[in-house]
Amino acid sequence: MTEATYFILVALMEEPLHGYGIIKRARAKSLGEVDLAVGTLYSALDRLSETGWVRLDREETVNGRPRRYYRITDDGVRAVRAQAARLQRAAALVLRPSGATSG
Amino acid sequence: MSHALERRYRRLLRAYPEHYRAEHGEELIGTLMEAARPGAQRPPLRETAHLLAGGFTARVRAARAPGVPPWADGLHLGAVVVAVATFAQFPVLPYVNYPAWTVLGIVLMVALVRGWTRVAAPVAAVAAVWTSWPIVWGGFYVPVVNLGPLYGDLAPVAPYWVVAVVSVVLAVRRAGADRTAGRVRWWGATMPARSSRWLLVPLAGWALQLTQVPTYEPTWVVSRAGVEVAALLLVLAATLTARDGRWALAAAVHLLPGLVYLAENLLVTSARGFLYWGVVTALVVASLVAARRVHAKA
Repeated sequence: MTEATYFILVALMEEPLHGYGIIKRARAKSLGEVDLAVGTLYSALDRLSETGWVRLDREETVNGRPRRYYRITDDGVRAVRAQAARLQRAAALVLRPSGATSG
Repeated sequence: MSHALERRYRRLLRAYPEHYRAEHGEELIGTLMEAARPGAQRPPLRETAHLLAGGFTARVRAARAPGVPPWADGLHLGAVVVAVATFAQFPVLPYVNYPAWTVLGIVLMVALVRGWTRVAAPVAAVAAVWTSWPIVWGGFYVPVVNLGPLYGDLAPVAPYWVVAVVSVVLAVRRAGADRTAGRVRWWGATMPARSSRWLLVPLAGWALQLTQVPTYEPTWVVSRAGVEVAALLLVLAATLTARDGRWALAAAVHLLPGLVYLAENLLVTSARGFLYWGVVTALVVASLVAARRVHAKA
């Protein structure tokens, strides 16, 4: 899972968001490290919809434009949790050296 | 909100296929305008680059055949490319040397493009066995009918075998899928269709024969190699951006007859020839490696 995909899924874990909402939330959650371009975001959303990790939640009209809200699915939550566990194991190797030296 | 910026973004969105724009265009414009800096008149370079890449990705994704596993789609596309390239170079005009063979080629290519694998498989198998006749039987046994060309080397028969093997694999796969679905169909589309624009390739090849343009001259050879390299670069880009191995597989199928040709002519291949084969092979290998990586990461 790429970093962009990871933070898109993380952004959607609290509530369904629309495109710009995802960009803002991902930026905040990553402490400014992940700044999604719009083209990248929608390519990722297409792929994630196809995988079944994200789906359309609802559509509103704001200033005459459709605004679509996306929701993470149960499969998506499982995938992002699995990735978080992998990242945690990898981080533990460095951040808790006692675990690495005790063996 | 700046109208100039919106107009410029709309122009950029033409990178996306039409059906995609119809579906998501307004949504993308909305998000782009929300994400824009206040007072901005021009799309930032970064956003522009990502929109162009996003448009390319959407186009690549739209070119996938729905309802088939990626490997079957990749093999299918590879067989289409090999078939149209082979028949485009087959001397059909201005003297109609092999009318029956030309008809066979047209039937085979139409069947492949339309996705009629069960028509394509037997026709491709007949073509492969026929062209290899002298290799199998030696000079002993000359067929009485003049169906098509007979070759004594491996290189000219290799494309026919590649198309035949792929068509048979696809037909068998589809037969298995039909059996589990409880229906068996012998005629009609058994694979999703490919764009009929592929049929323009042999038509263009035959038109060139008619004009008797010397296609063996360096400018032609180099430009054909250029088109091939450009296409393989697109395959590599498609593999990376759409994270999909099917295009690399199609490119590998396309390369197979070429490698047979190279192996058979190894001793007479010039430095320039090795350069060409080296570049083409490296690009296909790079795409295959990229396909493995994106597959592992997905």
